[in-house]
Amino acid sequence: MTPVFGELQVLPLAVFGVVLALTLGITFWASKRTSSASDFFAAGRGISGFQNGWAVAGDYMSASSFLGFAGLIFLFGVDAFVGLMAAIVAFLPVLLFLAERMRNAGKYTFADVLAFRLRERPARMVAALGTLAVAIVYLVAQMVGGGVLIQALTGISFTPAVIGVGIFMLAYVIFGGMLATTWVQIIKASLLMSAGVVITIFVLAEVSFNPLELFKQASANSEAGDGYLAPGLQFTSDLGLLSFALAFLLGTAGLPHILIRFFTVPDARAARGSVGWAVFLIGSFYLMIMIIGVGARAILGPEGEKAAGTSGNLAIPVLTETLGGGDGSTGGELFLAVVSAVALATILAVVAGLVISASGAVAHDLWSNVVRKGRDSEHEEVWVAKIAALGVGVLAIGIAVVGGSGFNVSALVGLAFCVASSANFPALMLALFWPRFNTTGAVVGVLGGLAASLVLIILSPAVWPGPDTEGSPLGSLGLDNPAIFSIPIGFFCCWLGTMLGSEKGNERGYHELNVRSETGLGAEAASGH
Amino acid sequence: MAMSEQGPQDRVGEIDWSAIERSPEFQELVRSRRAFIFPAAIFSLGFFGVYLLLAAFADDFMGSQIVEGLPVAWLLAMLQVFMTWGVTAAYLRKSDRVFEPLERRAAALAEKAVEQSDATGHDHRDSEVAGK
Repeated sequence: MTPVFGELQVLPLAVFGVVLALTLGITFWASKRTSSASDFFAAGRGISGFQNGWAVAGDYMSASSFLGFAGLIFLFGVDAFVGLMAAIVAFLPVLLFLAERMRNAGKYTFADVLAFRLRERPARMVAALGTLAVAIVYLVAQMVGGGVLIQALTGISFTPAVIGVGIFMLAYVIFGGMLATTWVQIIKASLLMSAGVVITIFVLAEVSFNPLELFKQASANSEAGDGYLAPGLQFTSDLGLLSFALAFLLGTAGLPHILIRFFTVPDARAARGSVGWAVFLIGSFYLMIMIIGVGARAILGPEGEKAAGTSGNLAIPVLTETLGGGDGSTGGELFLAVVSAVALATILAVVAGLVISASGAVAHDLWSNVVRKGRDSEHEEVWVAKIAALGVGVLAIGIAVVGGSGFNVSALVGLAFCVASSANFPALMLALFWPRFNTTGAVVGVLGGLAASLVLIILSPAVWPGPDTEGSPLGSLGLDNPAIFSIPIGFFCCWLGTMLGSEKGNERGYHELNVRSETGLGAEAASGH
Repeated sequence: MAMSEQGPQDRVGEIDWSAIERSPEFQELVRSRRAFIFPAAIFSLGFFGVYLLLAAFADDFMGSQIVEGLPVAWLLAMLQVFMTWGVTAAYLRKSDRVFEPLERRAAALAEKAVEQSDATGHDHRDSEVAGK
């Protein structure tokens, strides 16, 4: 993709510089306060519910929800909002089933919850596998998407952009641990919310603050006419629509970087409170994205489609430039620079969250509890986590650079959510709520869910060579996002494994997990910084 | 007394979990919470499911406009956000008022159990839970 805004952009780079300097300052501050394993993985459990709500929002809202979904709404109307609807409703399973139970029964990773009642080593191994699969695939998707975006916005070419993002991400995690990662997310979320509010006000000002007028102009400015206001532009297949929604809906509750956020607060009350704040912030932001996306359609019209790119990713940058006074005007350039910086902060915060979740899976689950069987020191665990972060980061940077901008980002995101919803989510839910569940069930379930996701994504029209649905060997059942098949397969494998497993469930372990997760008895205490 | 300030938290290895699980206090906590979370989850997923079904099968209805510039599909889309806020607020309220006091009551039992085991000179190490 060539930079649509021409040569190197000085103003965006200057604003980038300010954001980067701020985050490095925070990392330095955080590094002075990070020594123990609980500091590194869980920010000493001293983050308040309000702060964690902002951080969850920062972790969750990727550049794709800011630029991607607004662009898709610009192109396809209400169909594109389905992804955001699913993404916000998805916090209800997190709130009702997981947030408090994670905080009550877990320490650093969601595998802790499984390890309570299942045989520890196999349970941790499969949970770490599920975590790493989601984190690495999602990381590569974010890196590639981020690289393409930075190239388009600033003129820095793809490879240096990806490597630069990777270096900052690793600096936050390795030197500042969870405390730095959390504050980078809080800053990013505040920047994102502020940008959302400002652009929304500017868009609404164009229609004298009458939203009805906005929709009228949007349909008048669409080749689909009133069809722009109805479903059916993006999803031609009903099954595709359902499956896409389901992946977000249940995948969110299996995203390791979201689940570990609940370990950073002092207690279950703060954990559920943080979901409350997150839901408020993310919901407000999505409503603003809706207005901005429809506004882009109303203001830019069909002529804007070329500038916005085929995926619509640049609709917001083009829109803000127009709102600021147009191409070449000072206001337009300033707006564009700020939006670019917000997009950069967004990418950095999400990748940092993913890396720290992957490092926890390697250091806490695989190294400390599987290889060293708990005999390692806390100091060693933190060092292994830092090395793991470096390894995972370098691996993801490498894949992103080698694969380049040719990677199909939406297929990668689809795969990450598929694995989260089909491998991690079933095992976690059944461990908490099904007394009969056993280790064989967890192992077969996670591996089965993972394999089903992988196979179905490879056979999907997005990956299998061919121009459209006919490209998939599954015909019309080949979906870009096959969660509707892979989630039931994941649950079925959990059940099948449980029935086949000869071991009786660890009765005592279930009683303990049940009481602990419901009451918070024996929960990890805050370290009191 | 410094010890009791730390509560049962530091001494969980000594707790008889299945006894707490069988206690009426714990049963009431689990029953009342599950009576909320399962219906709430089914309601919210169903509410969203209705949108998806309408989007898939009721094109005319979804494409219609209540007044000009207020299309049904967009209105129902916004409702999903409001529904999420509503269910979240209801759960948080219910947690503060009902579930948390029940949690404390069930947890207090464990504290009592630890004190009793202290009195009988029970050997704590034996019941340390493996893997923690």
